[in-house]
Amino acid sequence: MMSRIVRDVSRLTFPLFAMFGFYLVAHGHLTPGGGFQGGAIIASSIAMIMVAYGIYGLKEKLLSISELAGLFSFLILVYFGSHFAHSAVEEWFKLPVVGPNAGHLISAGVIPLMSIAVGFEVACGISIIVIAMRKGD
Amino acid sequence: MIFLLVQIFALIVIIISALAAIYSKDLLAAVVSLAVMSLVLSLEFYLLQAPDVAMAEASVGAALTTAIFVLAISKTRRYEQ
Repeated sequence: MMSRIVRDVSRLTFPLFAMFGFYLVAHGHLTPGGGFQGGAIIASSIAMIMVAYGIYGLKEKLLSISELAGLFSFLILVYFGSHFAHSAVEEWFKLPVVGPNAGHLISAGVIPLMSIAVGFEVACGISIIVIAMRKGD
Repeated sequence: MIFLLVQIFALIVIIISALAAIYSKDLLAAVVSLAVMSLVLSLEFYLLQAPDVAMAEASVGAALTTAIFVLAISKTRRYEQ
């Protein structure tokens, strides 16, 4: 538990911080940024709350299961993308914004879903690191 | 011209904050100096037209390592001896 100033400022800036991370994850196929950067920003907003307030109510086991869920959903999306569309892994090395209505938010096939999976996985993984550092054992 | 001036300013701030992080005896001030160095380094990445790397550097370098170092300092001593 930190001082009053740290607690209030972290509580006030947490929604802006987390919303910017979600924006980066959702627009990962259109603008710079993407799964890793957005997930790292979401995780740093969670880390700010953890430094200011403590880790009450955050279960390490649940976060670990969520991280595995993000990873496996990424793999399943890679499989579906390569099965139903023409290969998604091959698509990464071309221009990312192709397909119907290119340049809109709903475009590029399964790539935004993959970006959301990567963002979920990175946010949970880095939160596990900060929880382990906070607990200290 | 303004581009060159901003880049020179960013590099000078990076060097000064890195030296402050090395030589300060207060470890919390050293951590904040490292965060400032990382933030200005991400500005430098943005000026060199790599906004992707700049976002990764700003989120990991300025926020996450600062949180981890602050947690580590809160478990140990604040002043170097």
